[in-house]
Amino acid sequence: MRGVSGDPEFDAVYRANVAIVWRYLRRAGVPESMVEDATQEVFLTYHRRRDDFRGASSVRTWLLGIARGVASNVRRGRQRFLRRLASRRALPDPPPPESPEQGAARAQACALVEAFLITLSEPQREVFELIEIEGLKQREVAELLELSINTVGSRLRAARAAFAAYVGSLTKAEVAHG
Amino acid sequence: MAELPESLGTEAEALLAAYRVHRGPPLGMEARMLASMHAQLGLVPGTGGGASAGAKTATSGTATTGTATTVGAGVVSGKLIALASTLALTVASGAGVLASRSPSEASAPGAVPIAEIEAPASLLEQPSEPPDVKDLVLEPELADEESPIEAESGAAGRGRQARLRRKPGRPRSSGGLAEEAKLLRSADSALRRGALGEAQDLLERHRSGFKAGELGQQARALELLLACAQGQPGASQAAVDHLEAQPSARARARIERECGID
Repeated sequence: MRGVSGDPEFDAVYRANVAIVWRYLRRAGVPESMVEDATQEVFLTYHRRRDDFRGASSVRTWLLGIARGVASNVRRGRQRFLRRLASRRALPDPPPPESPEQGAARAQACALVEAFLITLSEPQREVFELIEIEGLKQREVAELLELSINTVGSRLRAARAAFAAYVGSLTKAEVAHG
Repeated sequence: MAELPESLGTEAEALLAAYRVHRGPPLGMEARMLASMHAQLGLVPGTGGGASAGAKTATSGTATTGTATTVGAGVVSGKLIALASTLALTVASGAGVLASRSPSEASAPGAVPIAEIEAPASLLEQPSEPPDVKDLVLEPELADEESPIEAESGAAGRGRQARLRRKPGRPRSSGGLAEEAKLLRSADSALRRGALGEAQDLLERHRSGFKAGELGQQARALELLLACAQGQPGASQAAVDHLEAQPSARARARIERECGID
């Protein structure tokens, strides 16, 4: 621990990466009811181990590597792990409500993207999500997934082409139907 | 290796931006988790952003990490585009600000915190007119009663590619579509990790709960994949028939691979 009077470095890393980690965990199969705890587990692990971080990869890649392990533990349903997570329930202040229109429109757009993601093969989907949704670089994905950068590039290219065709078909259909 | 274009295009980027926001932590969650971790770590917030900065982050919404890319307001047009772009655009001085994915490294201490980025939650205060999402629906593909395997001979006549179209007389809720997509996504996730029983349960829930579902094509593809994974007799043939009936099926490559179709 780096002191009890705040930890700006930790907070900055958290704020810059929390959404990415959250989405990654959800996509990796962590149930919605557990993603809050699992996200905290990722960052607490980062906090505990950050002195070991050598800078060979980006912090983001490192965090996603931790998230991968956490998701794996959650999926396997390790009881001890689950109990540990359950003991760390966050403060119980409910989140503020959002506008119904905002939520509905976002849900609609999200459904369109998810309908596309389902159609991808697992390898293509993982690469597409990490690069196009989470903004990782190809070399980061290659490192995270232990693939060659050429493999990442070819999967990305195929997935991007499919997504472009998908969006094109949606737009075309929309125009055709007024 | 051919160079990849920098951008997927405005419409695609806008859709992905909306997805990032929707699939990110709910409003208030970022601050809540940060406060919880501070408490567990014995940190006192306030000197370096701490919980108060986390609260700031939360009020700026379920922000995506990223930089703000300014685009002309006139660039984005059309309902689909408006749908996505309204979710991800803020209007500042007559121009939209698209919260885009970040190509920047987020690793360094002192990287731009997301609290400083224009975030979609600020849209709640925007006077701009929301898109008419009710006009956007996906057409269901198949009749509901038959299982994917039993339906093999009939798929050709009924298979239709899912597409957007207007259905003005049909009451619908986008929440229903979101629920349906969520259910299918869960089934897909279960299938991909080999939890076939769970995938089957979820698909059965989909079949019973979304008889007029709008993601019928996706559900059908998942049912075929499940049948192949379970080694059901006739599954591969059903997959072949399905693909013949739908040459443009978006899950073609996956079905061919996982059902062992040459």
